[in-house]
Amino acid sequence: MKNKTVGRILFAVFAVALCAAAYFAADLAFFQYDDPLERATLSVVNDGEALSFTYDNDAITLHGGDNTTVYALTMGGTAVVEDTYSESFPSDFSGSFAAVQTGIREDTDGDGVKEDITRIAKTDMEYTQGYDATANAFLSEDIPLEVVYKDREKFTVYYLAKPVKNAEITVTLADGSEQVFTTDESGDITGLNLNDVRNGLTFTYRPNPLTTLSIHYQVEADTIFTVRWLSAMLPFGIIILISAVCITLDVFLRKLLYKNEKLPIGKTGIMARDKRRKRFVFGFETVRWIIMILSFALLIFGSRLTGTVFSSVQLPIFACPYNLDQLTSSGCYMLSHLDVLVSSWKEILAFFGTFLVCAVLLGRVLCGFVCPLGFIQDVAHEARQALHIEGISLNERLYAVLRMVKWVMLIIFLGIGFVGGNFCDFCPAMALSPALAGFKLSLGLGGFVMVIVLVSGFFKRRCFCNICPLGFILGLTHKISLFKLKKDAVACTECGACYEACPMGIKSVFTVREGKGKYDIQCIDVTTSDCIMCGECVRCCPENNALAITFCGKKIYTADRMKFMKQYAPRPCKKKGKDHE
Amino acid sequence: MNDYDMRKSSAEERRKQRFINKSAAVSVKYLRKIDDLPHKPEALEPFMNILRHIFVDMQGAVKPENTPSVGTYCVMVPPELIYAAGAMPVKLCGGSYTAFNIGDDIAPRDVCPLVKAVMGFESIDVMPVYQECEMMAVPITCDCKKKLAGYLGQHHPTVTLHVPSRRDRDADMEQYVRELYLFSQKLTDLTGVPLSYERLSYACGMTAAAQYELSRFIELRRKAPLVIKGTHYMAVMNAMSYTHISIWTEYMRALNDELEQKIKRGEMASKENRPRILITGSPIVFPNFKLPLLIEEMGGVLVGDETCMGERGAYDPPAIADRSVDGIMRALANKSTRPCTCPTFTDNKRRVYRIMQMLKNYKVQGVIYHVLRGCLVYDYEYRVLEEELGKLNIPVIRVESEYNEEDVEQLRIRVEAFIELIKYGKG
Repeated sequence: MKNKTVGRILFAVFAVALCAAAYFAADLAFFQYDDPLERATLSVVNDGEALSFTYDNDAITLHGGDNTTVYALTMGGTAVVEDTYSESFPSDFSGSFAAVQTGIREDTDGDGVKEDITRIAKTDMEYTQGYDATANAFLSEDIPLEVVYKDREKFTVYYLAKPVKNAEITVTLADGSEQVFTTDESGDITGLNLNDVRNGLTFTYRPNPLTTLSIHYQVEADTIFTVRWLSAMLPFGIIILISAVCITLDVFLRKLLYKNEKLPIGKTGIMARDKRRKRFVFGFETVRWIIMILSFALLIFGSRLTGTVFSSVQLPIFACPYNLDQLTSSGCYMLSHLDVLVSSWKEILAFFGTFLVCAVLLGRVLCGFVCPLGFIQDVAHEARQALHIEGISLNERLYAVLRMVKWVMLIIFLGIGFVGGNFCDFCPAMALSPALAGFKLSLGLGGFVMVIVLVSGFFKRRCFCNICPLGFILGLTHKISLFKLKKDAVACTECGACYEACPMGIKSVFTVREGKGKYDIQCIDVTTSDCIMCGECVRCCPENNALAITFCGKKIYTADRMKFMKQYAPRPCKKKGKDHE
Repeated sequence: MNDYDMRKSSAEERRKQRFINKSAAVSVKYLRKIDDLPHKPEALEPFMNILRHIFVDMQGAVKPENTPSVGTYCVMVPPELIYAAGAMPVKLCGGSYTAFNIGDDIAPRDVCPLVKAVMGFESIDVMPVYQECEMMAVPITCDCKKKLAGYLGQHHPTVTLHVPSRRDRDADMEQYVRELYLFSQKLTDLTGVPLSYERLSYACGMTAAAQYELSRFIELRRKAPLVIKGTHYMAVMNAMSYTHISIWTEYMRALNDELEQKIKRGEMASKENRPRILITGSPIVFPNFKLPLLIEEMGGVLVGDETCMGERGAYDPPAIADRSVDGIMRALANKSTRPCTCPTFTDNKRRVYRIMQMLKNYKVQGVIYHVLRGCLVYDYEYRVLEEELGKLNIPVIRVESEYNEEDVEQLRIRVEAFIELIKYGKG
């Protein structure tokens, strides 16, 4: 009784500490890059090239920059950058430059009449292309033609700070080819390949035959496989290093403890190998790994590979939206920033639409198959399997504690925005996918949380998934989700293999004997809100048809004794009876 | 040595000789009966030879040279652990009538015949398969086993494994894991082979190969329940107790291959119209084969068994979800206790389910519930099973027997009546 009270008090202290840490997450920095505007330098060269910005690491160069005025976007509006370009940016600079070159008269369309030409170049630094619905826009009279890149999906063209409606815009790609687009009612151009955008675009607009305006737009994003990319990976590398050190320490500490205990518990045979060949069984697990790897790649480099981004699809998974290269958007941002949700009705609808569709169609299948944070934990788990290091096996009591932590996490996740915190600073996912895609992000407490995720995921499979608030919300709809886990209580021998294999510690899978009715024993629905449909229970189930994953009532993966045995039994050797030593 | 001692020892010698003769005679008789059953597969011969080797020739367990034996008294001792330590488990649950008669004098009246037989073997001290054991492992599954462990402890180093009485709590499982760790430490002291992932995984692979063959067999039998006589199959499973698992696997593979061919050719061991019977309850240990033999002699077909010396003996494979020493130990503890249908556990609803599944798999028409006199826990569950099977309209009888041949005729009448009931009763 006393123990319980002490435990409760300890947990309350832990919960409060966790909340406080989450609130001050931004101050408890794990890794801080220089402020973007501090690290950026701007230089202007007159090299005869067309007016454009280019990036070399953090140095921005304006080419063809004679007779130009350079503007910088600040919080207060447009400011002129003085001629000592570098390190003289306004203090509230927000990461966009524009250079304007006027007073050129040339004949560009070959009709013999010289036109007024205004050349403009604009650039957005990568971090300003963030998750905000409103992209960086000068909307100033000084910059007559402006394109605003929104959501990595569309350009809005402004002429004299007003959207250009239903007009022809010629877009010249970096390789010189030209495409003609027509803006729609709100002045938007859609359908440009993202990789073309990354290489730099020139938009040309002729409001009247005697005026030609062109704007070169460059976004700072072409960063992959460069030194810059490596430097963006630095915090993630540090996280992995710290995790490895933690794991090694843990292993040695445990060895020491067990030495004192004199029991052979905890023997850790690192690098011990069983040399017999195991049969490879192609199955659900293989498919799951393929999907996980694919979705991991798509959620990190997706838009780079496909050239498009589906920003209205907001998958409710922990794929960091600060990574602008991912194929879809993530719903985690919306859910953790409910206070700013009321930004635009369209977005809210898109968000709830995707969320509902995902929750009903897939449910926590997303956790098991798509979520990059889940993937990285599975990789950590596989690493332990390869090293044969002892794990930490949880029992009911510890799972109950994790469930309590999940509630705290849920409160933090949903509520932190309302009290003025930012969940992103606390979120471990921020350390993962933006870094791999080459985005330099300073990490708050999230870096430390990521270390915890990796280390705990190493010793306990998918540990974070047990306390994941987003997964919990996604799992709420498990009753109407199309994926189900079904059990045949008659075939089941209640060997507990499923419980042992389950990364989420769902015990009811093996204890349930009756479904809704007393006679419902052959096809019991054992799906719970925790189930991530990873199929491990079915893989480890040695009884024919005892467990099955169904989709729309159709069995897609069924337990099979022969398949189960094949995973374990080595191939029979040719020599008779010489298997033993 | 004085005269008295001389006479005493020679009396002891004579007693031993008498025991050997008698028990060999019984074994020969039952082996012949098994042999005489028609449609014996060719590949059964090695298994019969093993039983002959142990019970007629009075030799030790079939195993490679220099492998110490560890006697086990229940399926709840995971053989993987013993193989991992470089030893070999021998399932010593006795079925000998001769040994039972000796044990009858030592043990109290109400003790079950199985324990009496073991005690008899132990006291007469002539069976090499018992005597060569360097250690005994006794899971405390019932009161008789508890006292048996104490008795064995006087003759051999004995390890007791405390079996939890419930299986749904994690704490109980963890306690059994700890029990297994202690056991493995004792094994390490015995053989000098420390517990390591490599050894454990190797041993698990070895038993998995055997279980793979067993699963293949079950699968074949599910397709064609009549392809082999149940008595033959019980002999196969009994032979497993005294054989190194890799040797047994080879024999089993040959048997499976032969049966596969037979199914292809459509050669069944019995006619289609014979009543298909499932046997469950107390273990049926060679040479106490009177019940299965009676069933087949009376025109029934023994299509399946749910007993610890039969299919249960090696049925449950460890599901290794975590490839580390602890992971394997947990898997072993899990598979030894949780799926076990032993009635020693407080709640055993799933045994009924298991039997229902077997009824479906093997298309069973009647169930014979075998109770060894004094085996209380099995006797308790008869009522539950009768009730459940009544709902399914499957006839079931309770057959109580001892380790002697006096009740054979009485049993014959009951079994015959039961078979007639299935054949004609439902008309």
